[in-house]
Amino acid sequence: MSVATIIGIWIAAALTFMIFSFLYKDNPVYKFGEHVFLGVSLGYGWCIYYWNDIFPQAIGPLFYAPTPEERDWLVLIPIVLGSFILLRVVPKLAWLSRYSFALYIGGFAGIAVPTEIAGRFLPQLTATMNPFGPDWIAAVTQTVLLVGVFCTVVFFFFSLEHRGTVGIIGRVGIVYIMVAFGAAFGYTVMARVSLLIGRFQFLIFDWFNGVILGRT
Amino acid sequence: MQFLKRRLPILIAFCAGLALWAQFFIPSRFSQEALEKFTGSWAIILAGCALILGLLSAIHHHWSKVSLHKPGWVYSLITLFCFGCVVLAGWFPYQPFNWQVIAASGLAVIGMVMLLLHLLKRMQGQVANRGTAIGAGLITVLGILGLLVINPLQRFYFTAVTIKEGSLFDWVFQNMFVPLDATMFSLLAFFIASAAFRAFRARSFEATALLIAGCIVMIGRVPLGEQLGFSIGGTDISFASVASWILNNPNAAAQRGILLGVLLSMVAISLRIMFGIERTYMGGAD
Amino acid sequence: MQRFSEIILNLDRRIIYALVFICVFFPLIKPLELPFTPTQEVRDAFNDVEALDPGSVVLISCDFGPSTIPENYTMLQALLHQCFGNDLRVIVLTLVPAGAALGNRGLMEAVKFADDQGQLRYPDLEYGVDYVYLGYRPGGTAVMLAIGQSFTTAFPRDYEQTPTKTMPLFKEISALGDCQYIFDIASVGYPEYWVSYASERENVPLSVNCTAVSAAQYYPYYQSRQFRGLVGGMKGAAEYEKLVGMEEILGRLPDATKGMDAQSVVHIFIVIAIIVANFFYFFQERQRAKGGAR
Repeated sequence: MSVATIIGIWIAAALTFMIFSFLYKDNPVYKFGEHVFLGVSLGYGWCIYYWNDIFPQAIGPLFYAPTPEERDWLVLIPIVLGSFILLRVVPKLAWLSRYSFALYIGGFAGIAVPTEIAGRFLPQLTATMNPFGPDWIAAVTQTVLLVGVFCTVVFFFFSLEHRGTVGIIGRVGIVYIMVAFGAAFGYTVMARVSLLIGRFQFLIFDWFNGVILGRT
Repeated sequence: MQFLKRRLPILIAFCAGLALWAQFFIPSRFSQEALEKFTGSWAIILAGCALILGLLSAIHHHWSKVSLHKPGWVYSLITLFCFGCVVLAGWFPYQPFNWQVIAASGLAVIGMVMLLLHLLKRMQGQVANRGTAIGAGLITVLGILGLLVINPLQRFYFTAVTIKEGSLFDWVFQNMFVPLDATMFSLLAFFIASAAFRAFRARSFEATALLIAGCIVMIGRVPLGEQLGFSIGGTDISFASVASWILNNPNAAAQRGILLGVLLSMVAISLRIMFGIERTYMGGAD
Repeated sequence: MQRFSEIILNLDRRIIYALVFICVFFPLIKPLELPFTPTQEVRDAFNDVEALDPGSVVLISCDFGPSTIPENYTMLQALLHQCFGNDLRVIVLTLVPAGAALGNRGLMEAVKFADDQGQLRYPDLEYGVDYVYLGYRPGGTAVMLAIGQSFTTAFPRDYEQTPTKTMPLFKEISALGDCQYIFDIASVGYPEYWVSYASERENVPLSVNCTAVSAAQYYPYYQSRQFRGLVGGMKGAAEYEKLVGMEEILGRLPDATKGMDAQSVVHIFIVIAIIVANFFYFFQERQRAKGGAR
């Protein structure tokens, strides 16, 4: 292992323990680690946005085009609109940012309507209405699915009072929703534990085994 | 002025929305090129600028905490110091000019000038902001660190520049950003276990359904869940198979019902934005 | 019993943290080696990629950050080894800033993977021909729509600032519709948008690896076949590693598989904790009701 790798692993382990110290109680060591994280992530974000967006999309086409003919002057328009967004820090000129947001958000609102209807809404409706076959297991499955989707949608329909028949359908919907939330909770526990396992794997295998004991 | 500040942005939103909605149905080359230009160039640059605005706001927040000596200013100083180091390491290339040395020197000079001005003010008996002096000191230290540590490390030890693999920036990402980000989220495992033990009670029929489904999925989605079960007429009934059935049937049904509602809401909100009924995205600036 | 139930119900949270620590720590140092079978959702994703012809192009979107490395990075490695082992070409990009450096590292780790003798496993791979790392662009759905029109407009330069128009791969593959498969490895909500803004629009099949937090909400898409496969969480990644044969490739247990024993033990602990807590809760409620009745 190189010197940079060993030092890096020691720093990573130290920062890990700093954050874990929060489990006992909030303390200055944890706050130090938290603010180091904040600073590093702000710096990381700055560099990534510049080298992955501003330079290749804005500066590159204007100043680093292979030939003068390939220079894209149209890119000045989004650059100007982008600077309007940055002008939000100046209270008197902040209203200029409305043009940029209006173009971006209005444009994508327009794209969203047909895209979401054609891409998700209709296919999901179509998938709900499958035939009841070929065997009884598929029929039961399809019934469970159809009843579940219908009852859940009725539960969220607040224009009708949930009494009588609508109330019963809504209660069936709640049961389906609770089962779904239970499944989501089970999966969420799995996700959180996975992240902890990942950290322990680093501490045990990379730091303790690899650096302290010198085993690979 | 009201037209420029209020009505024109709404008009722009409507026209842009309508044009891009129509584009979906028009397969002409002009329409495809317009979409390519808008999404491939303009929208990406605008999104980047919005994210940079967020970064600037965060930096301004911490800078004002330091310069105004608000509670917790020491931690904000740490944040700004780390931010400065990472930007020095990752933003400046050193070809064709050694921009890193130029930037570090610039920071050192600016910081020292600010400190000098602060000292002069104090010598003349004027009120001098201690917070600004601390900020100036930070800038000076960053500049000197850039000249004496970051640039030599970058040039003579690491093999790449800016954000590329093998650079100092990459080393900071792997050994500081990754462990900090990962550990922050891994704390949630402890919290979810504690919350499940202390708060998860089967107080009603619905809560019981949630609890039972959650427990079945928790056991069923780990290797142990496949071992805990029995066989009836050739069919394996284990926690794993029951969990799979729950996920693919009642869960899928309920999630689809919720999804259909969300999609309808998305369409409704998009229409409200286009017709200028929803204006919160414009902010309150006047 | 009353006193005991009060102690249990008011247990200091740090004792629970300590028990969680034990449940995670010991299975990692003393593996139980519990066997597991890949589920149908994971098999579907694997079989789809296996069925692609050599030379097919797979778009991999690494929409995850360091916080979900155990669930997503392990999957990325398994998928890349499967693609390179089957002579598939890959275009890798990311829609989240935290994934920019991580995606690059993941791709290079697979490309430069060498056996114990130092021999490269995939020596014939050439950047710009067999694999490309495009990096990060902000905008999410804007990027999906943009690559549906042209890769080189959305990404005029790749992560290392090389112009993409000069790359042989993009002389052949101009837009997303020319790719044969999309695989989204995500920790954020992008898979749903990959469906509507990319897969359905350009008619390219899509599979997803997501964190376990989001997995439950994606079953409608799997059921409707808009997700051809769904690899959920670290368990899904471990199943995919098993199908790809990562243990033989790496010469050791892969990371997601290693964590499965700890996962099993912690889950059992949490279920037992919930049952115990509910038992004592209902016991106390009954005692309270009896005391009230008197």
